[in-house]
Amino acid sequence: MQRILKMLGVFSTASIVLASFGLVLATSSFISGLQLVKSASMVERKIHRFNGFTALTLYVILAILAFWYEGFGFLRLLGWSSGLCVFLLKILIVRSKKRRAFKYLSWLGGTLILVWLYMVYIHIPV
Amino acid sequence: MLRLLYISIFLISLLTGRGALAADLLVPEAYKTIQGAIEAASPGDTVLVNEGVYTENLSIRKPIKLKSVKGPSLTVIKAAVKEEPSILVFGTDGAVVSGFTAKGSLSSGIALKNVSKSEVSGNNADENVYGIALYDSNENAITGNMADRNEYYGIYLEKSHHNTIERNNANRNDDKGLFISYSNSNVIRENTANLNTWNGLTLWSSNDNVIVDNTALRNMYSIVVSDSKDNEISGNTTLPNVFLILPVVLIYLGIVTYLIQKNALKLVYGVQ
Repeated sequence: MQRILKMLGVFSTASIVLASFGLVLATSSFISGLQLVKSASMVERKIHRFNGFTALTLYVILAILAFWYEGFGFLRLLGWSSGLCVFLLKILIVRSKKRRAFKYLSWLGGTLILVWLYMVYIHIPV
Repeated sequence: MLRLLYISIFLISLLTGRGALAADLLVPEAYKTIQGAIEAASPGDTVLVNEGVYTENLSIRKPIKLKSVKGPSLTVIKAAVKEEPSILVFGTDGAVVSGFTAKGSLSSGIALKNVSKSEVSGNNADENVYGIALYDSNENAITGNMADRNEYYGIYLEKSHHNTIERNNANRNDDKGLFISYSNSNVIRENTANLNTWNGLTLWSSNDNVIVDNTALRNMYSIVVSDSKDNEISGNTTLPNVFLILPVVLIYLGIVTYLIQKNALKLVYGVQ
């Protein structure tokens, strides 16, 4: 029991809570995205969009918090911009409706999962 | 007979310069500057410093105790000459430095040179080039200090042996948290070295040291041992379980969330 409580103590900052929600939503969005490749289900599309855009919003909030508390720095700016570029590139490809480009979406989705894993890693309080 | 005993104790006290004759020197009440009180102090005396920001370079060259009354958050020593350490202990034994914030030095916050059997405890040595540095100093106790956000190292030992480095924090330094260089037989225990740009803890050409129960998280490299032998390294935490368990749990929750959302939306839209 004490170990579980100690584990829950990780959620002591807003950043790790947001990052955790982000990873949960990104995972859900990724699975629904994979399902969308098989069939264009309306339910899957709604899950994918809602979770995806919520995850993007959380990412932007985390970025703002990071700049607010840690200040601007070249590497920090580069890191957050790179993550944002992955989000934007994915949205761009989906919006372009070019079927040929769709095969890369699962790779981008996988990259976003990795981005969120890193988000969780860097926000675990130490 | 009793009188003889008293006289003996008095004479021993005089000869050793300690014991009953030890005095407390108050700054700024009795002495305007801390260095003035240090100069006036005799071996064994205690210089007690009240709260305030003191722009000085302190130099301790005799076995005295330098203590703050209200702790490091309220008692700040800023280096007047930035190229010198904020607090320097030099060529003595049995000195104590406790409860200060030492900052703003392009050298070290607190430096010990040729010092033995002394104690540095409960200080903050932040925002210097080196936080706490020991050169040719042996058998000292460095305990419960914070050495964060320094330009190079949080705690640095060079040619210093048989020291105890215990329960210190060396976080967010621009190079290494703890750097043990050419130093042997030290005990490095229960320290925290997190979020340093390079290594959390580095042993360089250092032998027979005991590195136990330290925490080094989210550094570029956690513990680095180079050109060193016969060191005991055990019980240190470099990747706690939570770093592995939490992502797995969250991904699992993501899958569960997907299933819940899918079934909920199917119910709402009446899709089979």
